[in-house]
Amino acid sequence: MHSIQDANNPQALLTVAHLNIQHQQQVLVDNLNFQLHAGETIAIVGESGSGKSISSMAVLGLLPSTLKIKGQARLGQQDLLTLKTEQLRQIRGHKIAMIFQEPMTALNPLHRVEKIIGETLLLQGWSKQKTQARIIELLNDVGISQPEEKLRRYPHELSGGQRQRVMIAMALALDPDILIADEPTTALDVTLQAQILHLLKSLQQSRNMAMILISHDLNLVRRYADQVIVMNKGVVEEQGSVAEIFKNPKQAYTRDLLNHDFGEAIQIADSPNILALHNVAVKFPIKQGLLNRVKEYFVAVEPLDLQLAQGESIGIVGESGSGKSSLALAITRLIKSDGEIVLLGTDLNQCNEKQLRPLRAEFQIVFQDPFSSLNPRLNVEQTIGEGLGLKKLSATEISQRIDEALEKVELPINFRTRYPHELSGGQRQRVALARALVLRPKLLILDEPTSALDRTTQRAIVKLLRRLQQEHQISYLFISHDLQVVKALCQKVLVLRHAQVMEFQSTEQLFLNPKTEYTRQLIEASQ
Amino acid sequence: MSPLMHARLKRFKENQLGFACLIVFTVIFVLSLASELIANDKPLLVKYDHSLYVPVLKSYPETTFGGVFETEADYKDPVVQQLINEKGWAVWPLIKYSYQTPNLELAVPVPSAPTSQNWLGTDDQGRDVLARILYGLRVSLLFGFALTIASAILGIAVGAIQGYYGGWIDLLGQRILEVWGGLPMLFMVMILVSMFTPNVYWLFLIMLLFGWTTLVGLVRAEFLKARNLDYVRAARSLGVEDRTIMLRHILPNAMSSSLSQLPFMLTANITALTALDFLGYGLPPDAASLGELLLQGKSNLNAPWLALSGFFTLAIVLSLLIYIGEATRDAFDPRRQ
Repeated sequence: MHSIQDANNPQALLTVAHLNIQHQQQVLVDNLNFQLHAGETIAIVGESGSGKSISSMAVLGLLPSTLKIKGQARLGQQDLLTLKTEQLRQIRGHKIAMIFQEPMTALNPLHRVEKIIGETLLLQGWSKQKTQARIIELLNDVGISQPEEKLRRYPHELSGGQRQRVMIAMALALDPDILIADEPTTALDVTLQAQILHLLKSLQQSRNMAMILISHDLNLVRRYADQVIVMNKGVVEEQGSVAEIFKNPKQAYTRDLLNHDFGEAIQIADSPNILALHNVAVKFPIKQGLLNRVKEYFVAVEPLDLQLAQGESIGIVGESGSGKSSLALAITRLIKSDGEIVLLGTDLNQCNEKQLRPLRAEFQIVFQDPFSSLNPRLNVEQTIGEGLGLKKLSATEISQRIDEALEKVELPINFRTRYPHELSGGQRQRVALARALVLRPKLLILDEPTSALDRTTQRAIVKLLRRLQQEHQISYLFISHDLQVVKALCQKVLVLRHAQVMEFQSTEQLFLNPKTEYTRQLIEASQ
Repeated sequence: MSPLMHARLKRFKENQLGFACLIVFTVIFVLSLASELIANDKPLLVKYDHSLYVPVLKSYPETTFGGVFETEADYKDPVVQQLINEKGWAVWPLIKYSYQTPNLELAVPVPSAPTSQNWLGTDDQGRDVLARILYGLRVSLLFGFALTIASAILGIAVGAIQGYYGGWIDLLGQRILEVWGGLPMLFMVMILVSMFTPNVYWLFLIMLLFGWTTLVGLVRAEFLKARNLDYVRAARSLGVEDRTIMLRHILPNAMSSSLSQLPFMLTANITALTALDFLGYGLPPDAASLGELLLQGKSNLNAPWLALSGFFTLAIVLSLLIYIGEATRDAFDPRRQ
């Protein structure tokens, strides 16, 4: 492979050879080899649990001692894996710095920007004036406007993008030779992702730094990396230059990661409306003072109208905080809302909880995280059967309907006795789907049902949803931030931003000619 | 048993001190439950005239053994003992005194120092201290258990309702709890007890009235957290009733933190009962109780065995409970999995 061929290159900054990480009997990383040169970027790509993050943590000696680490990681003359904590401390930050995924938790909320960035400098014995000048310079470098004014701010007073920039500045403070970026953009909105990656790339070039970019998204690293290592369950699937891998992926797994094809949404004939929203708005009161008087409202969703036909699927797209989940919860009456929610001729907002209960079977919701949406103490049978227990059905009928639902979501019948912890993420999501489908709903609200899953599972779930839509004429409200998935499933798309509807048109039209700049950015980021 | 519970049990056993304490405590508890068989003024078994009698369980008139009186036989009476020994034999418990039996054979003034007959001496009415400790421990532990369980049930129910519904119910509940918690419990109990004739049931109700709040905060927090979990929301959207959601989905997950509090609540309740007894507002005067023993120790400073026995009994039992509580808390700690 490419990187091993020139293994004797003397200029290699960091050489990782035969890295092997074990936890008891489980192999977490198996035989990882790479060389990193100055000014070069290596991307390590893989799904969660593939071992991409712990490989880089091992290099910095940040792993717990319960893990068995074998192999070599040479930085100059030193083998990082054999160094003592004292010696490692001389390397961390100075030679190798790291950026983490979640800027909110990686920055100490009690410290101001000035202290966050300057702490390492002051520890080096720098004077106060010199440190401050250096911090302002760093903030300038990472593209923060008016850096003098930002010095006195706390992390919560910064936007998500600014926080990520502060973290990068913190990592750059001591001019490291190598920067490890662990999913630096995953927690950010699509529009910010490109900016941050661009920033990292330009910083790298101006400083001739080497970078290890860790990501789960192979397409994302295409523009920014020189070499790619594709990992799967601790094993290196494929390794080589970016051009090579993208032009000619050798492994089926790599091809799978590159595959963006979710299929086409089905065509539907004209059919009657089943759901109509009129001026539906969601706002949360902000209470203050002695008597908890409502001071003002936080508006999660501005009044909006929407019509959904039987068998139709509408995608609701937007970044986190745009109000799409609030809308889903409002329609299912799990949170309060204003306006009319007319489902099959009944205004749900006029019903009280008791009147609503018999109607609930008609509209069901599936949540994003398959780990938290199933009660860990109930097995599959109990979970799926819960809704049926509320209807007047005999035990054999219930059992039959559970089998039927399992069949619908393509799970084997013998899964009935399993508990959630015995299932994979995709299987859990299927169980959650079966729990909703067993009631034979007319409307299914899917709140990011695929975003916690890996690509292969995503594809299977989308295919399943499409089939169910066709066979059972179920209508979907499909909430997602991933336009590719929406495109494969929905006839129409509603774009939300900052609680407001940006645009609403048919999927085809949206992709052909988006009405707003924001939609254009979303489409671009999803390509 | 679920794998989760299995893991907890394993973690509990790994805490050797806690596990040992649990064994010792169980032994003490079982012994105190069998107080009648260990310390009693009646023989366990009497063989008289080719038939067997069990005086511990059944009362026999003195005439059964050839005596004069129609009333129940007084087996401590030398005359009765002689009658039995003539035509058979008697097996006595380890301690030949019940908690109310004065030792009438004492030649010294009461309270008397420990002897081979009264291993921990006698109190100021000539009653055997060891027998009184055994019986007193039983009352304390049973009372403590019942009070703990009752206040846990009440506290969990109130906490669950507050946490699940939130809003005004929660706000109102919290304010009431704050006022209730601000009341000086000991003095309120003393005032209330003195209004009624002291008996175990009244005391239980009154202490429950002021003790049920312990778990409310904990359970409320668990329910506040859990009510927005996706699987609870999913159950709501299925149309499941609130009561079922609370019992099936939230309570089992909230139980672990409550369960680990129980040993500490038990400790507090035993201490509270002892304190009331010591002040004379607790159990009826003739009942055996640890607080009463301590009070005797205070009034008879020249008889240190009274205070020392009371102190060590309480210290040992409460320490055992604390260590058991710590082991339980660690076993239920989700972060140690």
